[in-house]
Amino acid sequence: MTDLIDTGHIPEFAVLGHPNEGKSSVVSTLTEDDQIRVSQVPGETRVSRTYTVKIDGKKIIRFVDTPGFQTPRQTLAWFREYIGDQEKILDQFIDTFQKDPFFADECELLAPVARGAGIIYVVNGSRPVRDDDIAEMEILRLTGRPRMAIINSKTREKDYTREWKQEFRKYFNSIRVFNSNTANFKDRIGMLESLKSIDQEWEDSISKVIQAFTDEWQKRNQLASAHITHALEKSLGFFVSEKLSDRSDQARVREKLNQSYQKSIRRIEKKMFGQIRSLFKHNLYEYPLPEYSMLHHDLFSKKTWELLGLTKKQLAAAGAVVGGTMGVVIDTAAAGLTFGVFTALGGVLGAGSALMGGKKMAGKSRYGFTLGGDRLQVGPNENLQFLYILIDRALIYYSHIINRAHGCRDMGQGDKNTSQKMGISTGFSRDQRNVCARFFKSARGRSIIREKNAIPEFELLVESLLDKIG
Amino acid sequence: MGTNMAIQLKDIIDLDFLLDIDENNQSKNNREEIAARDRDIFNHLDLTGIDQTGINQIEMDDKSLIFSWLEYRKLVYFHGPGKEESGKKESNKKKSKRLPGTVFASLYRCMVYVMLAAGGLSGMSMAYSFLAYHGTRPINVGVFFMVFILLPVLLLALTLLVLLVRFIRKRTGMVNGHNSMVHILISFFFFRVLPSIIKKAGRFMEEKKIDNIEYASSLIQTKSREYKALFFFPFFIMSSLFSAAFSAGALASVLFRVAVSDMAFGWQSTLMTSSARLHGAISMISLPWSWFVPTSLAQPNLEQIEGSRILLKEGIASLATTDLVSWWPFLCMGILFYGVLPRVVLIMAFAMAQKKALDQFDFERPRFKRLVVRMRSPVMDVGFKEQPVSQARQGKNPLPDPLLQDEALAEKALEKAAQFPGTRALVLASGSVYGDEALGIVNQFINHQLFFDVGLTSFIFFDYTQDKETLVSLAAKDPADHIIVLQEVWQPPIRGLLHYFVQLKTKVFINKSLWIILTQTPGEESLAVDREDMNFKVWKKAVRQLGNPDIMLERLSK
Repeated sequence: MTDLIDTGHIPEFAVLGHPNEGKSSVVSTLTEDDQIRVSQVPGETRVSRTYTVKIDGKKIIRFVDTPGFQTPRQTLAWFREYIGDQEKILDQFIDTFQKDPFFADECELLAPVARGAGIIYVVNGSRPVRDDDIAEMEILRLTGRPRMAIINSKTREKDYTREWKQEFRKYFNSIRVFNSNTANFKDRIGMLESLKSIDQEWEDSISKVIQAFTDEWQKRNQLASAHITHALEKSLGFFVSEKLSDRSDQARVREKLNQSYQKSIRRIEKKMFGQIRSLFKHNLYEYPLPEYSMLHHDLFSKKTWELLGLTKKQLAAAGAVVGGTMGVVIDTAAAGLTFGVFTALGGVLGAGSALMGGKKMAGKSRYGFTLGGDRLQVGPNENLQFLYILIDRALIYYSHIINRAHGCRDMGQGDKNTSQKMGISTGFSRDQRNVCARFFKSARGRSIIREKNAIPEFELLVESLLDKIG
Repeated sequence: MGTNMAIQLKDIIDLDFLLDIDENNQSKNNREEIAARDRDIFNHLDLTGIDQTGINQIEMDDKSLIFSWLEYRKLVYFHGPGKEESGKKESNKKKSKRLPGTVFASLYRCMVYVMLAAGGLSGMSMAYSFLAYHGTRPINVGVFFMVFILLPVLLLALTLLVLLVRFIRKRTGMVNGHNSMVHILISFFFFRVLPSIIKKAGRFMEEKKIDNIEYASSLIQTKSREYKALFFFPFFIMSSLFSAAFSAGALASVLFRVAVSDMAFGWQSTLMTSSARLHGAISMISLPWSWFVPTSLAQPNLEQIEGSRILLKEGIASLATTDLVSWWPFLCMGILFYGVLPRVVLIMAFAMAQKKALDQFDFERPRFKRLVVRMRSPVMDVGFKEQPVSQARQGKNPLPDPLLQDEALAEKALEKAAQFPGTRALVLASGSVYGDEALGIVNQFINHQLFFDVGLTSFIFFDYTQDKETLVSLAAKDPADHIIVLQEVWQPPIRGLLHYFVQLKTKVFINKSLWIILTQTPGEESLAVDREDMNFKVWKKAVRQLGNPDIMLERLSK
């Protein structure tokens, strides 16, 4: 795929606009680089920065983050007075003013356009159109370069999108509403699709860029799925044990082990969250969970176990699958001579234990038992619900991460509409629950040879869920 | 490309070790380096091969990919740049490095030799002492048979029984098996004894090796559940080696004794009184070899059995020597066919089963999947560079005609201006922004807060060329002392705008104070600007930097 990308001539887009409209945020979101400086103070970007996206070292697309317009009216006045070859208007402007501090920012921001970059003009949709904006749009029109306008909705309180759209229609080939605070993968691809339409010449190369971005996304989902599966497998098979002496207080040791067990499971989960976060390139800033997130509740809290996982009814059926599966194997081994007796028996036992587990799910669902009278062990967790709680939390976290744009630096700015009030697992089909049940059995046994398909099957399930969420 | 390479346990341990190193190196830079390195390994691989027919091209499968990665990492581990793994520059000491898999393999090999030596020596010494004959009492064939033939057979049967139980449990899905006796033994041997040996061995090794020895030891311990299946057959191979060596040692002792000393074998029993029944039993026992070995060697005949029977009350003097020595070929054959050969066959079967278990090692597990995805997927990264175009950046004031540069003076001017209340003011505003209602509110604010009387209000375009005419005529007809320009606070104080204000002050309203009043957008909730408004602060800074004491900034407050 990457072989097809022309390394010489790659699409380049200069992101232009008035100061403090969110140009850096847009670039940050487009390139998924949360290290791009984004400031609340206007005019922080003084020099253009060229961000080149590379695949395997081959350059595929460039975005230039530019300073905001500082002298739009004066620049427009010069443009209007310019007599000469229209194609050289930008070169001429830069030649004339590159030593003049008054026009320093304009020279800086128009330079990439002069060397052939397409224009992405960014405005803040939460403020009205003003004369300076009209001047800027007119300058861009006079450059004659392909251009697209982006209405960046920075806040939700005010919305002047209609007004902007009306104005943009006079100056731009393509218009797009894009919230750099909440833009997700789909929005990014949508924006690249729009870029395709502003100049036919770029259609092919941008299609390849979109393909590269899509492949990259798929890769991340595969890796995220592997991280989640690995962490869940580890959590489900995890146990702690301690040797008991004659003087040991069993209750105290049990409580200590319980604490240690919970701490370790939390650590495994936290590590997995960190891996997902860095996969989606939220490196620089510690990701604060949205205020409404279920993940604020502790993994072992009553609330978590109430709101996530399967319903009791589903759990009973799922438990039947775990037991039932075992029964089916016995039946198969006995060449069907038991007429499914084992299946039924296994099913009943499984359902019973799952229901009991469901009732005590928020409490002490771990098991402590002695081995040879001198060792106390807590875990692996016998409760199937535990798996569903872990899946739900992983999927919720993933959902938070992919809906957090790289340009967003504020706490609690995520889109509250994406809230996962209920666990995702409650919507699992019977087949999906069967895959989970097989994984549960396999992960608890943790054999590397037996039930070989259970883990890849589960991983595929997680991947499909991630795709769906994404 | 299909995988025909033989996987060894040490490879799996090394793979685990090297993957662990990567997983623990999860800072952003390391992660990117790791992704780039893995992709680089992939790019350097010959990914196509020829299938078994020799005609069709096939692509390298994931397992081969992982092993190619392992080969490369091993190579780099020993010969790569100094920063690999520990980050220390230690290229000159690379040769002393040993991967934990190699440590484990050499220890395992040592254990094999120990088992062979221990089994062989114990078999030899036991048989040698057992066969001590001083001419007074022949060696009891029954006891010898029980110790050196029947006991190994029973142990062999026990081993087969364990294997059968494991097989059934596996088939029936009773997969757990963690608490079985065999697994307890395996855990004890491989996950407790062996690690402690590894640690002890580490004390005598060079310092550099200790890390890896510790790792091999802790890996075996911490992953005992995961790796137990892989240690199942090695455990049985060890025990079988001991048994085989024991029997071989015993056989060697018997042959040695027979060759260099005078031996006599006899039998006695209170229960079995008939030699014919014993002959029948012996014929059955010697079936495995009697069909190809001469009858005289295969087993003692009925007469010889009868002739070697010891009756204590009669003593051995009456027994013929030929009968007393007739037993040894039978006993040797017994040891060989019931003690040595079955164990050898079993060892071969275990070795094959171990190979199968290793071949079945699940390379689709998530941690390997991550490696495969990392290798197969292109690396996407974003780099940036800055190349300033303008040559007029540093040090210069971008605004033409600055009047004053002293900020302290500007502050004083602001204070001074506030001392002249009640003077006449001219209000300038954008006609497209400020309607009558907004202007009414602003005028009220000017009257009540600034104590100015608003005279004329005029609309401007904030473009000096465009506004010049209007402004000049206003200056001529309105004797205002203060010029007030309304400005929306959220609009950044861009250079062009500030330049416009400077032009107003220096070209039109030369002797008048210029007030920039910041408001919110008309039509919205309130026009008032909060003191802590970020945009207000930005404006304050920008106006102060103009350095003109007659250009002042105020915000519309409630």
